[in-house]
Amino acid sequence: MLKSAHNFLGEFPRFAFPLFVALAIGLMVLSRIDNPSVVSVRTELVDVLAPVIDVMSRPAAAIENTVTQVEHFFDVYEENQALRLENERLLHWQAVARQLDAENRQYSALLSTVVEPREAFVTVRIIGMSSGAFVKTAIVNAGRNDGIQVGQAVVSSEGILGRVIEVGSRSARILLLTDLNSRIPVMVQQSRAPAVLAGDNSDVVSLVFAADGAAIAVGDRLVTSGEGGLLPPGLPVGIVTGREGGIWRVRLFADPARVEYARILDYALPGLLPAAREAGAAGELW
Amino acid sequence: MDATAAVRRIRQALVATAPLLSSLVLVLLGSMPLYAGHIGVVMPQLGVAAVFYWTIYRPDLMTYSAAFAVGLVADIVSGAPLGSTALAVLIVRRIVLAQRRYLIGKPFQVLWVGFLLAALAAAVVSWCTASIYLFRLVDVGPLLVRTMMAMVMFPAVAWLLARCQVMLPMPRAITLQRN
Repeated sequence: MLKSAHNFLGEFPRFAFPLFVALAIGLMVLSRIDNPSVVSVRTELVDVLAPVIDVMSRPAAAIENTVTQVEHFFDVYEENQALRLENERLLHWQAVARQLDAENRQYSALLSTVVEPREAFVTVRIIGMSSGAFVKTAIVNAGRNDGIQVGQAVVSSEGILGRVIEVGSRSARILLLTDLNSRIPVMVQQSRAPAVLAGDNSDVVSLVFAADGAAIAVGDRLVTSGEGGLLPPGLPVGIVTGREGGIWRVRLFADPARVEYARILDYALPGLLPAAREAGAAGELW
Repeated sequence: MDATAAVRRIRQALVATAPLLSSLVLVLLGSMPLYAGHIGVVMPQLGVAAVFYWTIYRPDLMTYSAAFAVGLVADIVSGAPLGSTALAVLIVRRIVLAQRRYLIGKPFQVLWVGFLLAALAAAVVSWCTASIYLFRLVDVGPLLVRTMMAMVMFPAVAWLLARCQVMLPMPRAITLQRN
């Protein structure tokens, strides 16, 4: 009865191991050369699995929320004190921001500045996360049907998380900033010095292509520069933490490990977009 | 075909696929975002644990084809190059199959140490394939953290799979060519 159980290679077990090893290596080679059919098959399969993962991740999220709530219960007093202080500070900053906003509008009007395009967004839930030796990606529960497209920026309330790299009809894969293949144009918020932020699969990211003697210092805030027209400018990215071996290291504001819901921005730069998106889809800009 | 025969067939199919299905569920569980408090992302590869367990107790049902499928689904979900986890899992099955008689029927601690070695072997395979694939020496840190995490979670995984295993009828005899 069980003898016939499902090993379709049952008659040739001797060849099963080398055959499957060869198959695995073959698939890796196809993935390496970015075979479009391999990519599309994977996107479709994730699409099929996405509802299952979504349902499964809900109890996990509920448990985590409970753990977090219990944790918060114990330090509610300290947190309350800290929040009061922060609120006072923020009220002050709000007044400053209003003042600056009004001034900025005036100056922009005086100079006839071109208005930045507005951005629409879709709120998504992060349902899957991977942090292996190869990649740092996340899966979200929205896709083409919700207007998600390759190249769009993904942000949390703290800052940018990454960019969309694969889109199925109801799921999408996000390349996190910490991934080895992630490169985004950034600038120092104060000095406007441009650089490129690169991931290396570890938790810290680094600045590459920063000009020698560029005005960068420890503690500087980084924002997206919007160069290339794919990402909206001014999204908070992270803070410069130090310099190791001539390379500036950066701690990101948004920790993907703590984010359950994120927003995917539809940043429409008129005229530039179709070509830019295609380039993103083909991996040219990554 | 009468009704009892149909029921028996469904039962047989369920029994034959139970190890595969339970492993796939664990792979999906391992891909969940895990953001408990201040720990950060540490997601173990539970597929390796499942393949390890089933290769020891039901190698007739956790075949190379099943192990390959488990690895492939893990790759699809994690976004790693297709075949990379599959390769690691195949090698784990091969090693465990050869060492099965030293592990079967032993106290749980022995099994646990066995799993540590298997998980380390899988990590080494992953590290090598990643380094060749990306053409650079990749950071060992995340891999080690994941292996340790899988280690910590192994008792829970083994307990769950044991609950699943006792529901399966015993095979008359596991005749298996050790290849």
